Amino acid sequence: MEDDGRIRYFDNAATSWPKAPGVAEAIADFLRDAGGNPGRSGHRLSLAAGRTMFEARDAAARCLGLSDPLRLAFCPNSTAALNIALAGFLKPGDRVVADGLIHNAAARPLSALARAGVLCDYAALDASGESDLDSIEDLAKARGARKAAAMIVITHGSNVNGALTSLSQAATIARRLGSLLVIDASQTAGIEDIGLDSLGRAVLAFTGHKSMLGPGGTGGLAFAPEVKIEMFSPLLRGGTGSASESEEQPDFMPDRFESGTPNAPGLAGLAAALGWIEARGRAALRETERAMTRRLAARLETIRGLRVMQPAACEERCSVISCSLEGWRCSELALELDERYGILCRAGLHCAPRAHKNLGDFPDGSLRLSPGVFTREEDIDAVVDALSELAGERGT
Amino acid sequence: MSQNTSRGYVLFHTSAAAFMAEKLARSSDIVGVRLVPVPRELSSDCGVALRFELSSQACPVRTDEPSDASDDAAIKAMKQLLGKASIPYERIERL
Repeated sequence: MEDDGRIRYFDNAATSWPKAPGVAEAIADFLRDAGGNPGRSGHRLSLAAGRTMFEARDAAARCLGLSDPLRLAFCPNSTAALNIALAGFLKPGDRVVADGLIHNAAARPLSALARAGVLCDYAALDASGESDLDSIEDLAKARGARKAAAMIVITHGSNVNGALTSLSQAATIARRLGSLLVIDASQTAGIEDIGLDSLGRAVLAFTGHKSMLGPGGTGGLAFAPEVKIEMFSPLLRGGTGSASESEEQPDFMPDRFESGTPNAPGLAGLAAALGWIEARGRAALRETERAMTRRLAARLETIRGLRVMQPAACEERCSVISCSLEGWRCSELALELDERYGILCRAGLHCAPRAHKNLGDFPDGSLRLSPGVFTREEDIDAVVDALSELAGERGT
Repeated sequence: MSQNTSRGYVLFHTSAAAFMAEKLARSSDIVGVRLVPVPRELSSDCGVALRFELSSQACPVRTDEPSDASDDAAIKAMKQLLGKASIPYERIERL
């Protein structure tokens, strides 16, 4: 089997590619026709930019099931959003419980907070490699003199094994314990139904460049209606175009968390991407992506010496499959797939060391294949054929 | 404030709410809806205000929003519109 010159992209968990139709044009149009600074001036270019930004905010809120778009603050990415959710809320002495699939976007802020006196506990995974919500509740609940956890951190979709965690069940636990629920929806926002309005005291971090099919540099933090915004301190303070007479940071949304000139060109692209998703239908796109993921998982199982790390009991999963191939380091595999077959994927720990420790392949990590909504059956067959060929070269 | 009023201005805390209100108001019966720089007579804020034409007629609609008896019908309609959509605003002025 030879590289036919086309790229077969299996790294959608890192960033989606290609982007939704219309995204590149929307960014170019914005820079050409609406290049003002949104919310800073009253002239036509600034107003055009502001309208575009509002369209992005409105579309992102609809996508997340958030009825009030003003409760959504844009950030450069979900990492920035998670930093606000964690460091803007937790105080020394607070207890937080996180799941065992946590990404460094949340784990590293928590490590820093732990050094400042926040008490962090991490739950185990269940036997199938999914987040164990019973373990999370057990760790989070009050016991003796120990108060219930102030916060529970959930990875909605794992970027390592694709396991999906039930948000409704996590919200039920958080509600029962009086904990704030923090959701890392980096992998899922845009493709999964979220229904943030119904999740109680929950905040959700999302990125625009993965399943939302938009450009990098876009993302945000969304606050469910029951959350008191004043419980969160901004980590960045500065100009907002509002309350200009004051040198104090505004306390209202979304300006509280949106200091500095926003990535308006990127948000124009995000608005276009979300418009395309709405027009095509999120459910239909999800089913397309799931069908490709199921096909990939099933066909990978037929390759001798290949071990798939997937949540066994997870019928519904996000489109991430990690695997290893006997006789090959995952980094070698990724290089061979790229150079010989034009197949692009990622090798390593995927910025989620704790997940890999819990899944048993730390520090080697895995070869991660993540199909997207534009993946075709022939792409799946090509990657399976390539891996079969490589398995034959070093197989036992 | 001048008694020879001809326009209403909605002042917002955040421009995000202003753009939300603009979209809503443009699809309503309120006339002359336009975002403009906040008039310096009204506020030192450097953002935008939503300007609209006053009607000088009695208000034909019932509103639960707080309104002065002397409110112009267009102001009452604007208050009702913003209230129904839960769009936060600072105040409405005539100029």
